[in-house]
Amino acid sequence: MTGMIRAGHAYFTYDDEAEVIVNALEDVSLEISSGEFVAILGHNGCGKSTLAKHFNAIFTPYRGDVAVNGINTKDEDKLYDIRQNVGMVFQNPDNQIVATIVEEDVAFALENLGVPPKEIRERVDEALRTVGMYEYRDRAPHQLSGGQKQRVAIAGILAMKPQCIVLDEPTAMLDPKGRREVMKTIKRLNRDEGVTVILITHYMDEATQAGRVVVMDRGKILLDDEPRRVFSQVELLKDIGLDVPQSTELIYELRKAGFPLPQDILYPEECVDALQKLMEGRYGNH
Amino acid sequence: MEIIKTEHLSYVYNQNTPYEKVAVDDLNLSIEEGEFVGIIGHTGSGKSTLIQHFNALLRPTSGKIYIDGQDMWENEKEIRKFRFQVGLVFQYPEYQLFEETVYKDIAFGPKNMGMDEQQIDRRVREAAGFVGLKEKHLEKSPFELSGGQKRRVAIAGVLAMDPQVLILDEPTAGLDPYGRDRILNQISLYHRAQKKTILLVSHSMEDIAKYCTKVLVMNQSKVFLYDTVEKVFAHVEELREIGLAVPQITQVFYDLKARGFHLNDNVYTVEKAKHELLQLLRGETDA
Repeated sequence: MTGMIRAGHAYFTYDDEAEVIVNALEDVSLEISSGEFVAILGHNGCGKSTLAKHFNAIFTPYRGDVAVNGINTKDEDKLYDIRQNVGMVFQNPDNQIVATIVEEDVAFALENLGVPPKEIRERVDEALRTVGMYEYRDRAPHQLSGGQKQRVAIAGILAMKPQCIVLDEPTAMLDPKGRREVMKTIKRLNRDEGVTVILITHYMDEATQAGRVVVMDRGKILLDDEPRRVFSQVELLKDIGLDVPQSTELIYELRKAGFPLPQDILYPEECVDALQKLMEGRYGNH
Repeated sequence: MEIIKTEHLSYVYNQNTPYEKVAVDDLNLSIEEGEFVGIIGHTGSGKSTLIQHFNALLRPTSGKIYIDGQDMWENEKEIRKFRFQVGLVFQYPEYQLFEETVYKDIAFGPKNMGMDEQQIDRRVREAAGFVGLKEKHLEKSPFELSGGQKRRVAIAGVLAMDPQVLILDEPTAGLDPYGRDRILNQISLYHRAQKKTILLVSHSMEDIAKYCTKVLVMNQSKVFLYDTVEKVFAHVEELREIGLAVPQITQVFYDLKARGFHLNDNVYTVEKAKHELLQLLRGETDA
C-alpha cells in the first residue's frame, strides 16, 4: 500500500472580485492509498468537488501541495502522467460523450494519445466488457439509458488504464436502476481490477458501500473514518445538513430514549437483528 | 371533486412506424382536488408521458382527459388555458431561466397571461415567498444564485401563474440533502396553505412517504397502484417484484413482522417507527 494521492495542507480559493476571499479548501491534508474505495460526502459548496479536481490537476492549490504517485500536481511537465493515472467521471453523462457510436467514444482519448489501432481495439473491448456494455458497442449513445451512458463514460476512462478513478456524483441524474448498475460497476472495478476509487456522492447508501468515508464541511475535512464510525455521528451529520440511513437514525433515536442498542448500525438487516434482540429482551430488562 | 380524470387514455410514440411504442396504455385515473400525489415508476414506465398530458404538451392518441370537469381537447383553440391551469415544472428547471433578474423571470408567466403590472407584482412577490426567496434576491441575476436557489426561482415562475394543479418532475434531482428538504418543505407548506393539487414525480420512496397523501405507481404504461401512502407501501412484495423499493424503514418493519413481531402495518417514516417501537417497548415494560 502506497500513498497514491496525497494532499498536504492544501488551500484553494475561487477568484471573486467583489466578495471577500473564501477558501474553497482550507488546510486539507489527506492520503489515499492504492486500491482504496473512498467516498467523499458534504453538502453543495463544501469543497468536495473542488478537492476532487485537485486529484488530477484540473486545479492546483495556492498553498500546500497535492501529489499523485509522488508527482506534484504543480509540475506542468508531468500533467499527462497525472491525468492518465487519475481519470474523472462527472455527473451528467450527456456532457461527457462526444462520439456518435459507443465504441468510438470509448476510443476517443486513446486516439488522441496516439495509441496504435490494434491496441486501441483491445483496450476498448476490454473496457466495455468490464462495465458490461460490450453488447452495446455499435449503438448510438442516445439509444442508451442514463445508467448505460454513465457506464460508457466510465469505460472511456478505463480504456486509459488509470490507477485511480474519481467520480463526481455519477448517479445524481440516474433512476434507481441506473444507480444500482453504476454502483455495481464501481465496486467491481475496485474489487476485481484493483482500481482506486474516489466517489463523491449525496447518497448515504452509496457511501456506506465504501471502505472509507471522508466528510467535508466549509472547505475542511470534518470526519475521515470507516463508514460505520462516520455514520454513528448522527447529530454532527445532521448539523451540517447531511442524512444518515433510516436504520441508523431509528436506532439512534431509540438509544436516545434510553434503550440499550449498539451504536454502529448501518444496514437494514443489522437494524432488524438489533431490534429483534431488544424486543426479545436479550439486552437486559427493558 | 376530481380535478384530473382520464378515460381510456392512451399514447403511442411513433405510431405506424417500426419504432412504435405504447407509452400510456388505456389509463383510467381520477385524482381528487387537494391531493399531494407522489408518482413513482421506472424510467420508461410512462410517468413522464402521462404528466405531459396534464398540461397539454402531448395530445392523447386516444381517450380523454378532463381537468376540473372540462374535456381538455374538446375545443382545441382553448387549449392554452389548461397550460395556465396546470403548471408543470420540468427536471432541472434552472436551465430554463433566461431573464436579467429573478423578478423578471418569475414575472414571465403572469405577464403572458395578460395581467396588469400591479397583479404581476403581487404574484411575483407571493410566489417568491412560497419558495423562500428573499426580497434581496429579486433584483439579482438568476445566474448569481446557487443551484438550489435557481431551482426555487424556476418553481416560483410556475407558482406565479397560480395554477390549480402543480406538477413537479423530480424537483430535487442533483440537490444535496439540505437543498432537497428545503424545496420539499416549501412545496409542502404551499400545499397546506393553498389547498392546491400537487403531483410530484420522484425516485425517492422516503420523500414520497414523508410528504405525499397518495401514491401513483406506474408500471409498463399502466397504473399499477393508486392509493394512500399507507396502502401502497403495504405492497412490499409486489413493489419489489416490479423493481421498486419501499422506504428502508418500511422494509425493516416488514422483516420484523416476518419474524413474528406484532407491529403496525403502515410505518414509513423514522418518526413513526420510533413512536411505534417506543409504544411497544414501554408498553411491555409497564406490563
